[in-house]
Amino acid sequence: MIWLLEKFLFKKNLETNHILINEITNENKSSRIVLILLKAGLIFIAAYCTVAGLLDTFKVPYSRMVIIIAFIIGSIYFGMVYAHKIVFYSGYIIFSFVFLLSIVRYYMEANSGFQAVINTIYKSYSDYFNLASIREGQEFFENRYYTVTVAAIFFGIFLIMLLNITISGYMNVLETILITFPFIEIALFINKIPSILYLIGLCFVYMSVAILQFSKHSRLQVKGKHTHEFTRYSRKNNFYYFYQADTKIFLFTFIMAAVISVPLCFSLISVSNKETSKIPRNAIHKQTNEYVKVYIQSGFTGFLNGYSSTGGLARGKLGGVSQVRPDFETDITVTYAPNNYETIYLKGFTGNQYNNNLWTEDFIVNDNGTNLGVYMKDIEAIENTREYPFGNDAKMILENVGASTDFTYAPYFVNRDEILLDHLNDDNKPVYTISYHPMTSRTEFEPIYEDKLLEDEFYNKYVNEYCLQSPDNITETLESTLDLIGLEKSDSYTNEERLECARKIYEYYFNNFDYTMAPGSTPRNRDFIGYFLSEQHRGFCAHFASAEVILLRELGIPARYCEGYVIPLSLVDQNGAITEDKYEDFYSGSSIVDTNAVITVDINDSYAHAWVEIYLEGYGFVPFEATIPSSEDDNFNLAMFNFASLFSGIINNNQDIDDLETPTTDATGLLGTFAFLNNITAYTGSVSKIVIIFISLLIFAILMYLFVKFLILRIKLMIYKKNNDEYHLVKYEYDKLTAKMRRKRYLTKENPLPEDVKKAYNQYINDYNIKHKKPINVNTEELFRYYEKVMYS
Amino acid sequence: MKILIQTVFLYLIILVAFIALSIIYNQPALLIFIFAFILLIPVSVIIFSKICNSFEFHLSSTAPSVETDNDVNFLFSYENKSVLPLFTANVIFHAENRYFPNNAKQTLSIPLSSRKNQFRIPITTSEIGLVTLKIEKIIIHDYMCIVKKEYFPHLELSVPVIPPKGIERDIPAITPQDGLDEFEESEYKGNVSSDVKEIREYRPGDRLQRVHWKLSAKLDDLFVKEMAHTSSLSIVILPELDKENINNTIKTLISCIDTLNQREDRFELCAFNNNTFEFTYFSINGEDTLIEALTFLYCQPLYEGKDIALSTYEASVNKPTTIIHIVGNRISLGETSI
Repeated sequence: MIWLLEKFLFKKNLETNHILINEITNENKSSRIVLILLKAGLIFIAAYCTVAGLLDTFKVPYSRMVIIIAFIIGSIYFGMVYAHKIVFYSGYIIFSFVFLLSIVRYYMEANSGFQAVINTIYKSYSDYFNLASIREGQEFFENRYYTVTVAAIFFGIFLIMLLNITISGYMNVLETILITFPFIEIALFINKIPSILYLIGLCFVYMSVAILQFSKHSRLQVKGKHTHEFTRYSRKNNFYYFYQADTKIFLFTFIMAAVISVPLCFSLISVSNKETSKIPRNAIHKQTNEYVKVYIQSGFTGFLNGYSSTGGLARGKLGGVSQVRPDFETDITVTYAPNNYETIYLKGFTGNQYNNNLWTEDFIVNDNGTNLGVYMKDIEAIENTREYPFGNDAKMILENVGASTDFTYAPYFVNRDEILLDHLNDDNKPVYTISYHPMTSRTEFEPIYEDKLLEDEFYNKYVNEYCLQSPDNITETLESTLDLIGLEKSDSYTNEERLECARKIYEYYFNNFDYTMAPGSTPRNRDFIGYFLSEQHRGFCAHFASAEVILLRELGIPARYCEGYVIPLSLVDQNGAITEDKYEDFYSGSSIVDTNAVITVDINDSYAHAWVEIYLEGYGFVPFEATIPSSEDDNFNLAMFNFASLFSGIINNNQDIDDLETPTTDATGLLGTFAFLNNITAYTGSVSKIVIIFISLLIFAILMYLFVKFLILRIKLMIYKKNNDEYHLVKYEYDKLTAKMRRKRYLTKENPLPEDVKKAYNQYINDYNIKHKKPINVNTEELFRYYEKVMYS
Repeated sequence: MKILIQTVFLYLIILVAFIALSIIYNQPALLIFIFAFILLIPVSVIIFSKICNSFEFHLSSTAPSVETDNDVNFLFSYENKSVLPLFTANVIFHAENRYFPNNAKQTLSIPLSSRKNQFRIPITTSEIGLVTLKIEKIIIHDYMCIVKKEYFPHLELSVPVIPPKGIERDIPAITPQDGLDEFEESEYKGNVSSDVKEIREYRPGDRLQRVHWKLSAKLDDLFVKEMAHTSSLSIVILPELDKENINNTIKTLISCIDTLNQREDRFELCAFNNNTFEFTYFSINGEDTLIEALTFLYCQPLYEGKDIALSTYEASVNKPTTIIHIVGNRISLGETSI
């Protein structure tokens, strides 16, 4: 339709200016075939350097000669479709047919070759990042030389088809780079530099395409009835004619591109050969490294969170979080008297049983064939009777600002029955006064006390049986890990030995694992702890704490998993505010730190933490820090990671309809209705924001489409009016009237004549005037006479 | 030569981006490339300055005139006398029919990769008139588009578009007024012309003084002497450049000229300028002179009125003349006298 528009525009020129510049021609025309071959040459270089560059860099075996011949044939074939319009259409049809048949015939070989390449690249990436992951894409044929060649041919031909569009058709450098460079970047990312010939080749193509694009002498319209030697367009009263393509300009461009490419590539390569650290230190690369590591270990689903909440307490849910994203809003405000260097742990959640990547406080055990419920409140009731013969008395005022109110947060060592609810703050959140016995140092665990709580049969069973349970499906992994650490199971570890075992596990983490807030989510059907210990080797507090608890249990040491908040002394230094309270009101002893004042400190969700509790006889469950410090600068831009979280929640694999409140009904059934609505709300609440965003975008797109359509119509009418284009204006009104008559069912004929429309309109006016007070006064005879005069004159 | 600020700005942005990339990715080698890139700019400018003055441009047409509904083909050519080519040139030209001036601007981008090249610019016009193509400016850029040079070649060419040959008009035989004979003329000008230009057969109305008695007696037929009158015109074709009828006027004019030429009548075409009230005379004795006359005629302003030229002519000319007055399809004969 472009030539029709062109004809219209230029014919308009003839009517306006009484002059028309026809087809401008060049006496020294460049040969179309030569131009096509030159473009095909560019396409071949780009495709070959991309494919062969990638394969050679990763040392994947393939037949070079076959690839070269196939790519040359493909490049020339696709280049030639621009010779003539008939060839253009038939060429693509023939190619589609042949490609389809070939794929059907060589599907297995191509797939095998593709898997071979991916497996090789994957292994290189795993080696580079020191990851233990192994990809096992199945290769149906062993002969990689053959299968990779087949795969490379298919891939290369497809690449040539795309390059033909970006080079022969549009001559667009950006599209050409986007199609080819990412494959080379796969190698460059892990410091594998392709051969300089490939880099020069690609650089040469990019430079040539860029120069040809900006010089505007590169387009070659498909030859047909209405193609022009000079492309032309008009803007207001200015007319432009551009010569399409010239052979000498092409050759000159190639020389310029070669002159630029060769020294550029040589200079880059010579510096790149120097020794560099394996993982570059610059900021952008560091951040992309995290994404790449997650992808290698867990695939694309590694970026998806199984549930949306990732800051604060996870309430024992493990594995669904690919990365932690705190919002840094204050969750708790604590007023206390710092007295030692130990971190204060405010426990909220206690994980007793681990099952299917989930820690639960309450659990069911099978006791001689009977299902017995074990509830945390019962255990706490027993633990609250413990007396702490160590430490001084301390007081803490804890205000829940934004944390979950499902938990009561308290430090060690406290009688939870003595936690007093002081009052509710302005947001109706509780403020507690807590009396506790702070541990000043680990040496306070040395005296041996009699553990009277173990005399309780239930509690004894809880500690020495239930708190030793570990999942059977990862026993092998646990044993092999303990072998590596050099620990053995025993029923008679002393308190000191228990702590020593815990420290050894910590040391093992320290030497072999990495801390990261973005480890990637656990793959489906894999155990969280088993995956962490065997393959992942990186994670945050929940990983380290959970795994250590299970390892300790495997050793025969009772342990629990805890979640809550931590108050390190550094936080007090950062944002602690001194209050006017008396120190002695908050701590009965003397402080061993510099601060001798009562401090109020705000704790945000970045201080939410998970740790281990180890049972020490006489002391009960004492906290133990299992998480290793971060070795990298983790202060990267979390906003970048938030992008991936947009897609989280699509897979709500940890959401279960049973988790939602079940409705109760009354006689009227109303409650049931409300409960049903509650269910809907609860369910839609769990549906990720992505669904809402998607629907909003869809509605927005529809509205925009309608608005744009309306706008285009208005603009058209404005142009008609400006140009006094009576015909189009009248036609528009006539079509509008016809459509209205159809809508109102006054007109049912398929192709109505003006007479039919007039009749329908008359009938409409009659009916309208009967029903409405204000009648329509239209002389339909005159109106339609005018319509006919304009439309058919 | 002028510097293109936009391109310089764009290059600066690219350089800054490269420098930033080299810092971010710890690749100082990119600075080498930047350095080389910066070097290219003066190299390009220096080479360009050497070769930009070696271009010659020409404008011609394939035919001295064309009939309506046929293309007027202008040929624009260049010749590069230097060794190195350039990429492209923008040729800014203006094309119009003089009777229908317009302000449309045409820009033609041509490759300068050859030593010589020629481009055909066909122009169609639906009206008669003088189709003019004027090359206003030629802009050449260097290889990096940093600088440009503008040529003002002052190339202009006009080609008259004439109506196709129509039916021959039947014009009654005109006996050209002798104008002043040698005796009357001398009263006015004191300059007697006694040269005999030619001898021809007697036509009714010829003056007896002109009869060549000797020859007539010898050949037993009447022959008259045609004198080389220096100051008097015998037949003048006076077309009225009325806007409404200009097409038909020109058609009739050409037809009339053809008829008179076939009859071997001597006549002159008189072009009237309504602005300056001047008359310009052309002797039409061939294709070239006709085109010359039409070209001049097309350059005269059009006006509204069917007898402005005639009345002005009658009032101003003081010699006996036979006037063939043409307005549209109408031909009328008239005479002026002293």
